[in-house]
Amino acid sequence: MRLIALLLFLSNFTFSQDLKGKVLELIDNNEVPIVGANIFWIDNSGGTVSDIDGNFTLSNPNNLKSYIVSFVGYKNDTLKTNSLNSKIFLAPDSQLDEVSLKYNSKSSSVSLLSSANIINISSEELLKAACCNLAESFETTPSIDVNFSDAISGRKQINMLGLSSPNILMSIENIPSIRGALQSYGLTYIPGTWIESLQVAKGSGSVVNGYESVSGQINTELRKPLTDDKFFLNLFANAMERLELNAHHTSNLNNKLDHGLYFHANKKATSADNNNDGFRDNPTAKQLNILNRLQYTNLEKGLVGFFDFNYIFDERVYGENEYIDGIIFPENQNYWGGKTDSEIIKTNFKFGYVDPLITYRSLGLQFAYTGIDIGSSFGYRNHDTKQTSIYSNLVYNSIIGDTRSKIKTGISLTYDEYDEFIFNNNLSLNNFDISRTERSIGAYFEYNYDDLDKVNLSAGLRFDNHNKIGNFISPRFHMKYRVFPKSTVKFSFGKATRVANIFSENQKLFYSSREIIFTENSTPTDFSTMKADQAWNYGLSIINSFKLFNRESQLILDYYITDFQNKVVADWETPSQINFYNLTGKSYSNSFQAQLSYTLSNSIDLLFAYKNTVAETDYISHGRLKNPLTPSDRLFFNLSYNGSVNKKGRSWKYDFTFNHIGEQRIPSTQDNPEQYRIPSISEKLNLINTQITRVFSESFQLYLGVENLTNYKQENAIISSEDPFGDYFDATYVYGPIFGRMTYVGLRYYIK
Amino acid sequence: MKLNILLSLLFLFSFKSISQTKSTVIIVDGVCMMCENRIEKQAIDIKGIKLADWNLENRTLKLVYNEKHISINEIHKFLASIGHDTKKETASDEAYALLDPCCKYRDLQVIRDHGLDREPINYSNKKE
Repeated sequence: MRLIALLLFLSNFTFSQDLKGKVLELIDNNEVPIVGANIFWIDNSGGTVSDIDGNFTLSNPNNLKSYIVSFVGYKNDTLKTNSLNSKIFLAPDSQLDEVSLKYNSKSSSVSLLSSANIINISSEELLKAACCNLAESFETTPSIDVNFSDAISGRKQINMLGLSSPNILMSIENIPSIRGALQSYGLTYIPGTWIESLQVAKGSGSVVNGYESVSGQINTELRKPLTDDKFFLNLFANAMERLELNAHHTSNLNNKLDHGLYFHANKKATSADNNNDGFRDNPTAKQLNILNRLQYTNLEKGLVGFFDFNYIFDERVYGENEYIDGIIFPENQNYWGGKTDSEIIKTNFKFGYVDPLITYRSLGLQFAYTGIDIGSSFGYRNHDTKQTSIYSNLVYNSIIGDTRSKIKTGISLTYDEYDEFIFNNNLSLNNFDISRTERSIGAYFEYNYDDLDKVNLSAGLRFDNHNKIGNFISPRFHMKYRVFPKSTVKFSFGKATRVANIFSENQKLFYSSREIIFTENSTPTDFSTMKADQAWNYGLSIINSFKLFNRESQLILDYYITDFQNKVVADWETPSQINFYNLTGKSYSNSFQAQLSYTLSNSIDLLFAYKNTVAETDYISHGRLKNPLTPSDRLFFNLSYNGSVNKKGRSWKYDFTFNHIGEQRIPSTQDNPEQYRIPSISEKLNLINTQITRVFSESFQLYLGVENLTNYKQENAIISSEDPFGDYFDATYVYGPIFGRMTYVGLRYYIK
Repeated sequence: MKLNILLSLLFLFSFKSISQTKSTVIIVDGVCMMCENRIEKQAIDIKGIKLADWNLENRTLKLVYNEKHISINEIHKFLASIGHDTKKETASDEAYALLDPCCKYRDLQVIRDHGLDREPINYSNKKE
């Protein structure tokens, strides 16, 4: 376009004349002047700005023929001076009002500006560990630990600040999403390729998204039809014969409406037993996951909206190699095994209004409906959950005085209806009916002050009424102070309240013969006496940027304390039992992290991290013990190479991640018969993941990776695997990889 | 449209001085993040200015201000007084001299050093 205009200019010699015109836009067929539009010659030799009526005059000493009219938020227009019409109509740009600056940004970074300690993980970072879903997206983020939950389900879980994922408020586009019955498999229902970016907030987080965040908040931004590629295809296969397909398609329906269809399917038809314990290493599985997104953008009126519909069907079969799914009378089954069937329907509606002239004023409404139906069998035991959830949040943003003082206020409500049962085909075990309805309504207010220099603080308070807990408040405070130009200190504290979903959160107990017991003051009771979890979180973080050997580096030191006032303690300390009771005494987690990132060259980034966690709980009849299966030390190293693009548009990318995971306490097995005992401290683990990507062009990439390169396998991950219906069967003592090295390959194809 | 009116009413409800609140975009010269910081921070300090957002790429300063406290001409004058040229007001040489060497937006070499391909906004005026 520019080239054509330039040619026009070169071929032209006419007399000099001042250029006059008027810049306008059409709103409802009315001509509205655009003030401050830039009008400049194609060669940038001079320019002017439209006045209050949209008029402009531009002198033309060089006899130029073409000029450009531009205004932020509108499409540029290249025009000729001989055009008869002096009225110039600019069309709004479909892109949002954002300036895109191209620079070598890190794919994972900690914000220096915000008051909260937020790590932003871009889609670029997610490509470093190509498999497969949200649970595995954190393999290159040292703040989050990813590990297997048990030796049978193949399920991965995440921990932050020494606490497991139910303590993290997991939201999708700021709607709390992985909660309730989805605590078991919810992370696996968000395919990695759908994720646009992740924001990991350590500590108590903002009041806007609810009262539940004990150790932090993780928000997932999904790909958006307006800005996403037209088409994307990803195929993936691993050495365990797991196949995945991801296909995205977006289309522009009209200048205000964009449509996106996101499709995911995976299948694993066979299952090997590489560790020879008689059990499948991983379940056979299939999943179908379809997300339909409609995005509405009307910048003239300042209206934006989303309408999403998501359908998920997931099935997995696990257990002994000889177990056959589908036998009508499970008590006749000679082999231990089971199946989990999940069907989920999610509908989200989001609507936002930003005053087009006074952009600090906005109003947002979120509404989400989720229907979940999960049926699971585990040997003789069954766990069925049906959950209907409604969530709505109305938030209003404005300022006090000027934009240095911002406020957010709103109301939110949640409604969760659970039909949840645990029943046994074997009559010697207890059945549980834990059906319940939970309702809450709350109001919140958050004040943010930013002096545009040293200080940024945000103070929030929310008040909620919950039908099980009553009234409670959640204060949250975050502050940033820039001590020196390149040194920033962040401090935070906050309180969180959460009703535990006991069986979904501790689902691994079903991969054992443990008897479920609720106690209150050491006497048996039922689940209804369990109180809500409540905890305070305090955090301090120091961020230092400096040059080391003339290269950018950043050192971050964090210390976080999570102190529980109450929690439903899951006590695994008595073999063949799992005891649930309200905390008596203390439970806390103190987590220290030091992280150093270093840019070795334009193409190589290094990241080192060390983490130390002291997490302890007072157990009835066992005293204070370290939380089980929580490593006290972790060392992390990541090298990432992003090669330069050659003339043919090709490049290499390489990623190497090393993890040293320290000792973990294993719940005692000393009361078991000798052949069913295991050491009370785990081995130290050294794990390596690596991946290489060949970029062939902007539209095509191939990748090859290896997980667990050192081929570490945990011995005896299943106790009493030869007698799974016996009293000592237990597959919950998992502290490391249960199957060895795994290779995978995949391709990505884009149409921009 | 009805929805729009409804929303506007909602805002009116919470802000009685809405009629005095004006929104505009003016051109202010500058070359770097330091200029951005200076323009935005000094402007927001002025009573009556509610929002000041300067864009390095096209040198636009988005303003929301209360006419009861300050006029747009006074804003132009103020920006010139801190050393930044606007389309209406040219900064005095004394005010311009106080800018950091990195912010000398009238200097073509400084503009190039920031990787920008453009000229000062008042370049043509200067030549005349």
